[in-house]
Amino acid sequence: MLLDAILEAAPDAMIVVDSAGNAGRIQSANGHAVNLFGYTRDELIGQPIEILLPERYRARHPSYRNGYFSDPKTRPMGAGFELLGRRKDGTEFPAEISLAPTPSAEGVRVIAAVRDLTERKRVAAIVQASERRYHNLLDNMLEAVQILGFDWRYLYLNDAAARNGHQVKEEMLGRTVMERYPGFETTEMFASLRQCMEQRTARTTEFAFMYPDATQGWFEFSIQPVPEGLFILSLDITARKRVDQELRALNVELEQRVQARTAQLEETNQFLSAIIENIPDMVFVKDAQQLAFVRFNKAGEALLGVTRETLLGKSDYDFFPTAQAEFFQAKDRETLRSKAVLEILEEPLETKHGRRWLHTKKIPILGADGAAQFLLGISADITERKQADEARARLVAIVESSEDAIIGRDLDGLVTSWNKGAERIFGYSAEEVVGKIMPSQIVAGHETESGLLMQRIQKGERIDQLATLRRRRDGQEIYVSSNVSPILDSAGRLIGSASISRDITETKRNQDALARAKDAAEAANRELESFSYSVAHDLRAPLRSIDGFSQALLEDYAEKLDTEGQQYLSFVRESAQHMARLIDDLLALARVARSELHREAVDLSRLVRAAITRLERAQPERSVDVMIEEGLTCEGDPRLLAVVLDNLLGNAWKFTGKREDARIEFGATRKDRNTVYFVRDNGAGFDMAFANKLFGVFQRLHAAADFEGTGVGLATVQRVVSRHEGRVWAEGAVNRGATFFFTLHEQDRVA
Amino acid sequence: MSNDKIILLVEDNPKDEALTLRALNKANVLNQVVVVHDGVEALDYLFARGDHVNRDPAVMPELILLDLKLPKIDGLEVLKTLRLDERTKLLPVVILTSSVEEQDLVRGYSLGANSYVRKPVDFVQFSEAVRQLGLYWLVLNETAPVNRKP
Repeated sequence: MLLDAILEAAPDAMIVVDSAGNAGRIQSANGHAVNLFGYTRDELIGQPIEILLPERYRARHPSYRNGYFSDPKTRPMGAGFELLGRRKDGTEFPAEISLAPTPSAEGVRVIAAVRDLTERKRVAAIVQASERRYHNLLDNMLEAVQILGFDWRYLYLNDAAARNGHQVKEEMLGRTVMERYPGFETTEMFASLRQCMEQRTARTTEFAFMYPDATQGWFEFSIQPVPEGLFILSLDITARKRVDQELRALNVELEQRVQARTAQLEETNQFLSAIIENIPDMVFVKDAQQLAFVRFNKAGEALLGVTRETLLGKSDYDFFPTAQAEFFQAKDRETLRSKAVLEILEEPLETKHGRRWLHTKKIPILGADGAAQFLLGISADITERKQADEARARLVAIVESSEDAIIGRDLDGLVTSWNKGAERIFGYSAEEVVGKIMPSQIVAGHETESGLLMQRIQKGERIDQLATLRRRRDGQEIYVSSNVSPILDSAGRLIGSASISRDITETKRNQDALARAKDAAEAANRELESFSYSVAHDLRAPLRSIDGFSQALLEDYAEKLDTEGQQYLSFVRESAQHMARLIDDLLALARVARSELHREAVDLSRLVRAAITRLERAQPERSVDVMIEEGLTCEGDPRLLAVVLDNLLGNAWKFTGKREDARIEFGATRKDRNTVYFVRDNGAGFDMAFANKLFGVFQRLHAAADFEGTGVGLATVQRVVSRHEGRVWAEGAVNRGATFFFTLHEQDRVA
Repeated sequence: MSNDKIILLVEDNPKDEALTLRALNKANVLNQVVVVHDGVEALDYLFARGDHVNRDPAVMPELILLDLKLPKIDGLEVLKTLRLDERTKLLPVVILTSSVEEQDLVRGYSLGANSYVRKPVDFVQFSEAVRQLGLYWLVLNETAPVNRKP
């Protein structure tokens, strides 16, 4: 039948229940029903429907059944009730039953469709559980979850969402966002949400959110369009944002610090570089493996005379003679191996400027692992110092080898240096004296000299040739002549004194002896002076008598004397007069030898003229042609030079006495560097053969009968000229006159 | 030349004395010549004391010829002394000596001698010198008036 076919085809269990007569009996059941309840068809048909119910419901069910049959409609059964079905094996299952009346010949039948809800319920339970779990999850999530409906009502929000919003969850559900957050629709956030809501787009973004209490928070929103509206996952990133900001600030600060640090480092680097560059010593760095130059400073460039560009990357072998390069590299390797500083006090270096001497330190630069990475070298050019040292050594040698005592003292009077000469002169060895106050050698009574000396030295004065009496170590007294000078440092400050002393005991003794001799000589001189004075005086008196009384005789007793007698008396007179002249001349000669030589400007021409005048006055009857060169001056003793001229001119006058055309000349010529004065006459002259006798005392080259004279005059002239460091000589010829030359203060005199 | 101008000759050497007197004579110097033989006597005479105590001190010589080398007190001492005394301060003194030593000249003049003449050995010259002395000092020269007691 059709019905049966439909029932059979129906996906659910279908049971037809009779109403009248067999009320409540199963008329038919489909395959599904059979499967569902576990009965066979035959077991089902004719049974009360209640057998399909759990026992506890069977009693009540007929009333319901009857109620349905009184008004049968198509409707679900047991609305609002959970219906249970019972299987043959007694197990129960949830069911959904829908009833549909169907008319039949036998009356109204009910078709009951029974759906096993077990699965559905199970699934529903699962779903529910799942949902619950899901809700739990959502509820317990840190993130805020909100589901907003299209009307902006909160369909769901979890605790976190409420917390985030500083609100209470129960007050929010069902309310609109605007209600809960007044002014929200003005915000950017809302605009964003609306866009998502309307355009059904998803978005993840950050927003600053103003709380009702006016505080601000930052949130990260993930907005998802869902069928209900919008699903919003939000994370309170306020803290994170703050941290972010702090981090950013920190970063900025860090950045600044890094920059500052970098600048500092840069500065330090430049500073260090500047130091290296400006160190006046050569600074170089070589790498430890190849010993090639990696750094080279300005001083090094100056020293070697090469630029660093030519040097960097190369090694010693590229620049220096092999032997030298080997030496350098050997030292380098030694330094690197021993990992200790190597000092080379002196090494020669051939540079473009010649040979220089260096004081070098080689320093290994180790890496963090302790292995040698670089070799640092610092070389000071000690060439000048070496030369200075050598010069100093020479000076020290000079000081040491000096015969004089050379003593250095500091400001406190402590001896700083004491040479061999000092040891010899004063008798103290250097060990005994250096570093101590100089042993008091001042002889008692001379102490004040030393005190005054120190004062003057401290004022920075030099003391020259100070003679003092000192006592040697062995007690012997000696005379010492010292030159003391202040020692100044390079800034000009007084740091001590240096004295050079000579033992002048011998000299002083000599000087004393000389002084005594001089005194004695002077005393003798004075004695001689008064002696010769009185001698002359006493010798003249008798001569006067001789002459006087002879003359008296001649005058008064002339008639008693014959011619011869008279002649004899005149001889007597002449002799007495001659002797008088001798005495005068000898006295003059002696005086010339004795007297002090005054030195002043002397006008020789004037002296000559004066002498001539005297001669003319004494013999006015003579006429002599006299030529005097004017303006001839010299330096000397005027009295003594007057004597010279008197003598020379007197001679010229005398020896031209026999000539009518007597001529006397006085002048000067220059010979080499000297002025030669001359007195020339055209008188009797002399034989040059006897020229060497001219100047001897009492020596005469003429007979007294021809020309009178004492023979002392020229000796006197020679003595005076000699005392003036000059020479006198003569040229002449018999009867052809004579020229007497003399010089004064002769230069380049050959003894 | 008048007689009342006295010449005091201070000379120790009798020969020189004789020669000087002779020279004065030859020169027609007829003044009274008083001769004293040493420095003490010279002063005694001038100050009218000692051997010359009886001399009239108001009468002073017109000219003093003074030798330098004298026994007892020498010529320069005499000169010095008489130049210190009011009575004899202004008397003309001619030093007549054989010395021409410079220091004597200087000292002589310093002590107030009016003239210094050297005695030559040559008598003829000596006579001439004396004559000139006399002519000048006794005739030409005006001497200072001396206080004379009436």
